[in-house]
Amino acid sequence: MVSTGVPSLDNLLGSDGYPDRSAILVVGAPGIGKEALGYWFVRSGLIQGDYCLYATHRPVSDVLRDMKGVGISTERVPEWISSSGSPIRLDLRDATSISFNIKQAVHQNKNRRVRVATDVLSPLLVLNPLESMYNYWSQLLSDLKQQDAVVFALAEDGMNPPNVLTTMEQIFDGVIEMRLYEEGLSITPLFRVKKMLGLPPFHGYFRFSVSSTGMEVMAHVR
Amino acid sequence: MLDSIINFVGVLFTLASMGVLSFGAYRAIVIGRVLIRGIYRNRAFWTGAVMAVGVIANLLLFLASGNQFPLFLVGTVAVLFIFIDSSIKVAQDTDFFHRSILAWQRLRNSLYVVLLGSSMIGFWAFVFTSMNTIPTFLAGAQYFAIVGLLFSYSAAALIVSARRTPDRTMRRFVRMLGLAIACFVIYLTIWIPFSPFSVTVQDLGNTISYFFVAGASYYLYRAVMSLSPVGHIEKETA
Repeated sequence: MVSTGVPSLDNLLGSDGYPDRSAILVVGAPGIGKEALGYWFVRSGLIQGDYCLYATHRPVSDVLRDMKGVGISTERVPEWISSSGSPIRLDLRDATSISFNIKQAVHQNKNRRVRVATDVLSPLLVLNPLESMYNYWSQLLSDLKQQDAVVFALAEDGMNPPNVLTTMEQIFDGVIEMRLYEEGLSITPLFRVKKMLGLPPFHGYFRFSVSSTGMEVMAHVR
Repeated sequence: MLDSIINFVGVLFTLASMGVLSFGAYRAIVIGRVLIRGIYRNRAFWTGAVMAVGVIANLLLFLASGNQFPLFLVGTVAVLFIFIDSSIKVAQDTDFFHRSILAWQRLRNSLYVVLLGSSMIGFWAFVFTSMNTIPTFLAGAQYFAIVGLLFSYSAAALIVSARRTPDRTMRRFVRMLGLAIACFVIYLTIWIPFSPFSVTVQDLGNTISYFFVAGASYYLYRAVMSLSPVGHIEKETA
């Protein structure tokens, strides 16, 4: 098992976190904190000495600023594949090179446990047909899992229609959904685990809060 | 009698604007607090701040007299322009390919200089000349003409940036903001001929322009609400 980087989420998932050799998808509204889950996942890996790769369509400086914003130290950083600020450049118009670069970086570190976090799923789904992306991601995730990697991918509710996301959820071993819910005049950020490899189906929602000291997950009582 | 009705309708529009802006500012803070990522949180807080400025401007519209209100109008316009500029930049950042939006990034510094120059002339005229004089009228006319042009260009840039961004949340936000700005431009356009510079049919002009202030307030409210696509919890699964 691989720690999520969030102790309360580890507990929720059975004390240990995400399954080994798995692909986890986090779906949610923009700005809600999906990226933060990815940052803690990567930070946890860096602390444990895992090889961590972050493939992003944003500039590295943007991601580092966001990391600092949620209280994550940027002294230790993952290897980057990004639109700017990294040795390996990510071009959203060239999905083949993205896949090639990720697989090559992972292959070069095959003796270590590997964590890959990426936010390129939604942009690629916007720019390419669903069918080709379904095959593309199926192949990429399968190859990475063979290299003993745990993959953490983000999907934006705001970019992809629900039917596209539902289709993509099928090729992931775990799916976490993060949403904002309206209760009277207040707005509550909630999440639910839609599925997780090796675990029985989860029921109900969990509240979460993000601060500079980390993320807290707690049962949601109405 | 007719004057009283026109005045009453104007008051209703102003009260509606203030209600929408106040509630919107509150919602903006609530939404901003639950958003984690900086660009969305900042948009929520920015919109809330602009709505709060709108409430104050509306209050002054009621309470201020003589040459007080135009000064606050100059301030409100400046805040609004900075807000528009930052929103266009955010929309451009969310575009995967960071394409230029009507050359906004190249022209923005010049636009700030033009707005600052025009504001200073307007400010000088409002403060150092007496109202209802030709210099005041000319200073006001050049100010509103420049602001009208700048904001029309801004509204066009917002609409283009809304079409470019792949993020539906940001697209809705920028589109609503563009509509709010369009209402504001119409308000200024209507307000000029009926402004304190020509007091004969001032009440009618004000009432019509307040309608567009109410429209701008509504679209600002929609803009801030679009940042938080909220759902409702299903009872059986909660």
